Amino acid sequence: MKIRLYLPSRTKNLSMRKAIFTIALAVAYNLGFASENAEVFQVNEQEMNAEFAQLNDLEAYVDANEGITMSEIGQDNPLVLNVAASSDVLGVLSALRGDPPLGIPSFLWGFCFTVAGVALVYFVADDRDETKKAFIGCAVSGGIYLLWWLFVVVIFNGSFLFF
Amino acid sequence: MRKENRPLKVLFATLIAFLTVLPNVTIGQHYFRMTAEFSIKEKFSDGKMSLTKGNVYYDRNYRKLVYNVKFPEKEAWVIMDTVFNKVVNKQLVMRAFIPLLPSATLFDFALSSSLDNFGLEKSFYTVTKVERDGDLVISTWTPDKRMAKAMGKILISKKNNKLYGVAFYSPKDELLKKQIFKNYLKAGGVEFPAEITEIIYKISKNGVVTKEMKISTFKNLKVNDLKEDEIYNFPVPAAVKK
Repeated sequence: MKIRLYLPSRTKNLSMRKAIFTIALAVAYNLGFASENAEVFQVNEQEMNAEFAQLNDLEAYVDANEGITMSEIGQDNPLVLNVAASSDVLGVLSALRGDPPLGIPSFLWGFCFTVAGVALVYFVADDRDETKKAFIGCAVSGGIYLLWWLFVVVIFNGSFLFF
Repeated sequence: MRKENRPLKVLFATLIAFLTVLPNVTIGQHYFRMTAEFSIKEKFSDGKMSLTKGNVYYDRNYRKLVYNVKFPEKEAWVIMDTVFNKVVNKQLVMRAFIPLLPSATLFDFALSSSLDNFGLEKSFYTVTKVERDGDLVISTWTPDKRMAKAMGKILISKKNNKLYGVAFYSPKDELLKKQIFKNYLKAGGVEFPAEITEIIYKISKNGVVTKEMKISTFKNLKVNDLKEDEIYNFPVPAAVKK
C-alpha cells in the first residue's frame, strides 16, 4: 500500500530546505578537519598550576580546618597574601552565566524590539516573570508611540512633520 | 462492530493508552533542582586573588539560585530574577541589580539538558559552521544580523558529545573569554562539569591584552534532592538593614 503525503507546497519547500541544510552541515562536519579554532580551546596547564599554587595551598588549608573564615586565618599568614578578604560576587557568577544577551533587562528587550523582543525573552529566558517585564516594556513603548502619534498627527494635524 | 474499523479502533485505544502513560514517563525525567559543593579560585591581572567556597543550590520552580558561602566569610547570596541579595546572619545587608537570570546559568542548562550547546539553541544565535579537529567538534554560532554590531561570534567545542569549551568573541573578532569544561559529574541523568577553567582577556585602549584566570570546581552533585528545601527556597528579608 502506498502512503501519500499531501503537504502544502510551502511546507514541502521548507522541508526540502531543512534537508539540504542538514546534508550540507553533515558534509561540512565530515570534511571540516583541522582548524585554527581548536587552538582556542587549549589551556597551558603548567601555567595554570603555577598561577594557582598559592590558592591551592589556601584551599587545602581551609579544607583541613573546616568552618574557618578569612578573618580567623589572620592577615599575617602568607597563604592569604594578596587574597581578597571578601568574595568577588560578579566574578563567581560570571563563570556560570550562560547566554550573554540575557544580561540585557527584559524590559529593554520589550521596549526596544516590541513584539519581537517579547517573543525573544519568552523563548530564551523561558521565564514567565521575565516575559511579563518584556511585555510591560513593549506596552510602554507602544504607549509612547501612541502619545506621540496623538500629539503630532491628531492634535497638531501633522504640522510638526516635514512630509 | 464492523470488521474494517477494528484496526483503527485498536490504534486509537493504543494512542489513548500511550498518551495516558506519557506524563508519568516525562515526569520521571523532570529534573528541577540541583546542589553541589563549589570552590572558585580567581587570579586577577593585578596579581590579586580570591577564593570562594561553599554550596550552591538551584531550584527551577522557586527560580532561586542560592550560594551558601562558607569562605572567605559565612554569608548567603540569593539571586532571584535579576536581583542579587546578600544575607548575613539572617539579615539582608545588600540588594543590587545583577545582569544574571538564574534560568540562564549552567545549572539550568544542565537540568534542562541544554548544556551541550550552552543554551544557545534557544537564543538568537544560529550555528553557521561545524568542523572537526581531532576529538573536538567545533561549531561556530553567529548572532542575528540585528545584534551583530553588539555581539560577536561564539565557538562551542564538544568532546565525546559533551560540552568541552566555549569561546566568546567581540564583533571585531577579538577573543574576549574562553571556558573549558572538564571531568563531568553525574547524578541521576544530569551531568555537570566538575571543573571549569575560565580565561578572560582584557584589551586596553593601547591594545595591550591582559588576562584574568578562574578555576571553578564542583563536587557532591545532587539532583532532585528533597532535603534542605528551606535553602533552595531561601527566605530573603524584605528590607536592607541600615
